[in-house]
Amino acid sequence: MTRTALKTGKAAVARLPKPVPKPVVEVPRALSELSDNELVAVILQGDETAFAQLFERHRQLVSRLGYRFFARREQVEDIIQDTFTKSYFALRDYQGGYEGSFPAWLTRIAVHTCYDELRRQKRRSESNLADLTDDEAAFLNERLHDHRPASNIEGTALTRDLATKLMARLKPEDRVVLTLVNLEERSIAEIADLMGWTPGKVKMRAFRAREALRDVLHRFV
Amino acid sequence: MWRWKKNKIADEQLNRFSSEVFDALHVGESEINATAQSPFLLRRIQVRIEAEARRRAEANNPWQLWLLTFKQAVPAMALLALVAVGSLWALNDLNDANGNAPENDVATVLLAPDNVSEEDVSAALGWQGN
Repeated sequence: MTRTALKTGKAAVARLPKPVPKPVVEVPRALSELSDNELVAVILQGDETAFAQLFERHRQLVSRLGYRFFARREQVEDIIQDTFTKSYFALRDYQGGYEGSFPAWLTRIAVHTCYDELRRQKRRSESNLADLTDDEAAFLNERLHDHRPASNIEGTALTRDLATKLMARLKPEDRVVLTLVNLEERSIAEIADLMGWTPGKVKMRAFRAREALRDVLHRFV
Repeated sequence: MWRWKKNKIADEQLNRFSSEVFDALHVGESEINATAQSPFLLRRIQVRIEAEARRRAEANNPWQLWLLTFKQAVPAMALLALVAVGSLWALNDLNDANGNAPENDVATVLLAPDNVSEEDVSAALGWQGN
């Protein structure tokens, strides 16, 4: 290679534009790959389809909670609808301070929705829901006088319908606490956090609720 | 002593039965899943959200609410106006049929001075002519 050619080559290299670093192009990820917090951010930017994804992820959680408090399918469906509607309008609150866990935040909304519905039922004095038939009352009386363990009594299991009627005789506060303690198996601290009560109040409520249930049952002894 | 023992047994019974109540309230996973997978559940939620958003928008904007009320009142007002015009028309037709033509009407006569003679005016006022 001659000196001239070398010089020309160097000049050509010098004329070449400097390599520009490629801009980092964010490949749009599928909604299913986003975390709950990212989905909330997307919804707040106006993308409604992200809400469907959140619903898809957590509808089972809300359905399970609904069945802890209500026996009928249509009641649970109403709870699911109310919970997700309320959560949609409260998403800004979630972003503002509860970003720890979306399921925990949604659970709080679902429990309050159930509690509100229980109070509404009580206000509407839907006492007929708690009315026992003569057969059911006789069954309760018999079972409460039977001292054998439940496992030894064949074919006399308490039905869900009857258990629901017994629970319907309690105050909504008592029902919520008993359900969260006995069915959801939540700790006092968790219930306090869910309901916005002090732990002392939860303990007192739980004690009174157990007494209230015993009172309800005592009427059939 | 006997009473205390009886109460204790009743207590144990009640406690045991309370747990049975909670056991009976448990729902199977299949039922939970079936309800969660109900068709149109998401669509119904979306409809509720839209309705609630509309309601909130209306509540936040009183002018919009006022306009909406006005819009709803327009057909009622139009109907009222139609009825009023119709009844006026009908009254006029009735007057014509009874021979109360406008030219014989007292007001029409008095408002057209060319038609009135001095005698008519004095008669109307109750004056005696000289």
